[in-house]
Amino acid sequence: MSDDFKRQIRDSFEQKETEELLALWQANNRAEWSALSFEVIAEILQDRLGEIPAQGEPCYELTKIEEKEPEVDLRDEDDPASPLYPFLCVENAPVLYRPKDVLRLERGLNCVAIAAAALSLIQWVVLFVGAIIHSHMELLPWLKMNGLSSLLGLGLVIVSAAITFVTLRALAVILKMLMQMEFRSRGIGARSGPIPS
Amino acid sequence: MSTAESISVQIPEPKYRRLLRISALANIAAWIALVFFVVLAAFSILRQVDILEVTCPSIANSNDPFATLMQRLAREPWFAIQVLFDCLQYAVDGMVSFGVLKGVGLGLDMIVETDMNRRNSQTDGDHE
Repeated sequence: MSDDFKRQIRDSFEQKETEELLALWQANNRAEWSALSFEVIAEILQDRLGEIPAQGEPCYELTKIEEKEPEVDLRDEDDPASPLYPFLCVENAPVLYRPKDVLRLERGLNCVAIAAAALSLIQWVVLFVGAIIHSHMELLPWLKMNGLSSLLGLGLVIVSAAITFVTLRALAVILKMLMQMEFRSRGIGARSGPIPS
Repeated sequence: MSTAESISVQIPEPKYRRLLRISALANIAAWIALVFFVVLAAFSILRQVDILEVTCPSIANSNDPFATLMQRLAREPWFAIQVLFDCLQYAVDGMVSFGVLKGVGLGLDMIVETDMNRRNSQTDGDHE
């Protein structure tokens, strides 16, 4: 284990409040945190409190993360109280792109992904029902004649909708990660925490 | 690389310039794709007029094809839904193309900026 890696972990824990570190230390969740993390937390607590507090029984279950990232109003960029301010204010603004555009596009891509997938499925249903109506046949005889081809069509629609959905969602995530990497390359992300969605 | 006033930033590396050129092209292509699909959505309605003239020549009024189309849309709600979804499909295709191309452009910009930042910090470190 390199010292660099340990220093990186220490830098990341140094950002946290003592109470937060104490809670992690006492929760002693070995499924979520490595032995090295606890070693680093112990060192930081020793530095800050002068002693290492008692640790709880080790826990090996993952806790469910239920809290959702808060929605941020993109118009708040000039408000220093906004969580977006550290990323968007003039002194941190990147030169070649606008972070606001990335956040807006990320939201847009997520919406379009859902819309495109839903529309493909609805359109298949519309065509299916339309074909039955225009054939002037009962449902069961029609299904006997065209059931297999309809099922095949539905399968194709589901696959293509899934591909579109996954591609757009992946692009949204990649864009956000690229922006985080860009901020970190200037040391902004490390000071300000993750970029809010 | 973190000041807004440095808009006229120098991009010395040819590979950066090439990436930024592709990014600019992707941005232009995004708008072209959006307009193209919106026009296509409008044409999908016009296509229904043609289809109507071929499939139902008895009701198609060649003097006012739109009136004939509107009559059929009002008379057959299912047909109206199909036309609506045809239009919507083109609109969503346009938004998908726009989003993907814009994403490519922004992604390239961010990659270039990240690499330039890294180089700058390396150069600063070497000087120190």
